Amino acid sequence: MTASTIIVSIVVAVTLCRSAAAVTCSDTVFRGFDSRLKIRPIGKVPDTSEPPIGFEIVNGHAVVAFSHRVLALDADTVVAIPSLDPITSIAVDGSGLLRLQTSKNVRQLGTERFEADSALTKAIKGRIFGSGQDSFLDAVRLPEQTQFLLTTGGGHSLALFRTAGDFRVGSWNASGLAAVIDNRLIVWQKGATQLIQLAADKGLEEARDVVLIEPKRAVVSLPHTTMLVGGDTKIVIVGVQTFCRWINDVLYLLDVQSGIIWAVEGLRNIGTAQGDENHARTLVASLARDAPESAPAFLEAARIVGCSQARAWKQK
Amino acid sequence: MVWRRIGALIAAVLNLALFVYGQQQIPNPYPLGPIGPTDSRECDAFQQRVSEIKASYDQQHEACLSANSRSPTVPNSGNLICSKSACQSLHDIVYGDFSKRADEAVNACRQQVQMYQHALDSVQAAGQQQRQVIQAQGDAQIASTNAQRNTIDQQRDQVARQADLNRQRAADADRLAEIYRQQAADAAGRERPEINGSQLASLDSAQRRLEALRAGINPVSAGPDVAVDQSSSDFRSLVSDAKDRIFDGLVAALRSTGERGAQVADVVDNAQSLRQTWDSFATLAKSDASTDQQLDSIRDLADQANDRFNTNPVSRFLFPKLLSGGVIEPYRRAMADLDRAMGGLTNSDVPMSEVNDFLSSDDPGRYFPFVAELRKWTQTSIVYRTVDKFRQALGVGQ
Repeated sequence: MTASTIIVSIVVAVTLCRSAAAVTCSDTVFRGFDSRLKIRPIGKVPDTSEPPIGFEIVNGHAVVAFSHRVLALDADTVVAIPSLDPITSIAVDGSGLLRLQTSKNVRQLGTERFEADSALTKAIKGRIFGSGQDSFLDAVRLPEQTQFLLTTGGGHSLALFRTAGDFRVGSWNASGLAAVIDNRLIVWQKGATQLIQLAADKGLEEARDVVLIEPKRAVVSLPHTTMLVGGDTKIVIVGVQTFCRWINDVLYLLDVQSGIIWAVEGLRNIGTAQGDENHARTLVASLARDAPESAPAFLEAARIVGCSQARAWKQK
Repeated sequence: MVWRRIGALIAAVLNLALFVYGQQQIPNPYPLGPIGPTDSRECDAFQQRVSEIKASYDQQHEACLSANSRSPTVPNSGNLICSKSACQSLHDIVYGDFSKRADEAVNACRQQVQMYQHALDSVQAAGQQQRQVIQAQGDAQIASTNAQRNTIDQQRDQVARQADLNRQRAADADRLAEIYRQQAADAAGRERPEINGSQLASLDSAQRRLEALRAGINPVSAGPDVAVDQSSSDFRSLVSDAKDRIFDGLVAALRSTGERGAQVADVVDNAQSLRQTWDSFATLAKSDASTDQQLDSIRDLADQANDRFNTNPVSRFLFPKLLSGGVIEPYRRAMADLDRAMGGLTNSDVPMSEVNDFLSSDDPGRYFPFVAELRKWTQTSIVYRTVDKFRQALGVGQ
């Protein structure tokens, strides 16, 4: 046996061993979108080396804020404006006027620069947020409490409510308020007389963003997943960390890792216990009997019902 | 009585309606001078008219005497008493103070004309004086403008001298870069003799050199971001202390990273402009203006710089970062970008899986329709523009 024969044998053996160690359901998670959703990318942030701190949609265009710059994305270009003062939050009012909250003041998009908004600077005591509403929400951290105030563009504030715990993330849109306080997801539909606690979970302590899409359903972004929470179930929308906004029945997601911005439709089709299980069954049924567990359809089903249940259905 | 009637008739014939013979006085027999005369010719005309009137009175007086030649002569007649009593009124005019008063009226006329001329001369003199003042002011303004122009010329000379100095500095930097490059080449030869001369060895050595340079020039230790508005003194010291080391070190580092680094550095031929901008920053930062004013000025400078440099390939990834967050944080990012740029030069085709791994691993077919668009966006760069471009990108009205 020559040296070259020995080398070839070793290479073949290694290759066979690697083939035998096929990827199983337990080895990986499906990170793609739920296949019932209709998705389309609408833009991409080129530089993702620094974490975004805010995401809004203005006239259908994405605005992404980083610590020292704010980006406007249209189809072909990404236009940036620098900010010497660190940006802490962004918000947009009902007319599409963009506000930046910095360490120094609140600024609004003027005709020549981001100019100081003296009324809001004076009125906002905590963190400003708002997505296309006539008023802004001001989340003020108090000792062991969070106070929410409704603030008009003219700087008039109205105290909404206080709740125990530290404010983590929140948003304010046409559906209402969604916020994570400590490990609780609370929502307040506009005009409702009481707050609703949609979920309490230790994982929520790591929440990165949240948005209310229906009176009792909210999308929550966590470090590795973006989930729909509410009703009688929780389901993963996509396996990446995002910033999320909900406008006119479209969920806009900024993938923090890749910078891709997705427009997602069809959320009303997911998020019910029975409907989700039926979808998982359909995914498994679509597979050939000898399909590997690494098949995207199997992995998606396993993400919904778990590996054991998916395997059980596949073996039938 | 009959004579009086005849006299009245004669007076009517002579068109002297106010003239009455006998004891009745002729109301105001003296001619009035012109009202508000402005020219001596008016007075001449008035004097001529007075003479004519006096001549007329003389004729009337003579006619009266002739008409009354047969009436008794008044005894002791003379200058004051007419020889014919019927002609006493005309006698009073002809021999009385008519001439005197007429002369006075003419003189008054001439005085008024003289006063008017004097006033006119005064006004004209005042106007002339005003014109002279205006002329003097104009002269002063021209002189001031000339002085300013001289100052500007001096400033221009100063800028030119500064430009010469900067050119000298740039030449020094080039020489220094050449020394670094030579050192890097030498180091490559010493450290990797087995692959001496290969591009890999040169790059590797250059990378080491870059690390060494970075260690030497990086004035910032890793840690939390430093807020620009922390305090003006901090800001000033950071800028003034760091800018030379930052920029010069950056250019030197670029130039010292072997051939590919030199390729990048070649694009920085206008490094002098970048340096001047940094100098402007430093000048602002070292000034005694308030922090707000400094920051506003720097914002303006940043806007200008963005416009000026967004066509420069190097500044597209370096300079905006240097500006975007003040001084410290962007410098750190610029270094990260430099790393990436250097990596990008050796491996420019980044697979999509590294951009977002679920696109290629979980359900490639599902995302396939978007791959071309996503790849296109992967090539898109951030462009620093003015606010109106930002508004256009958002579809916000002007």
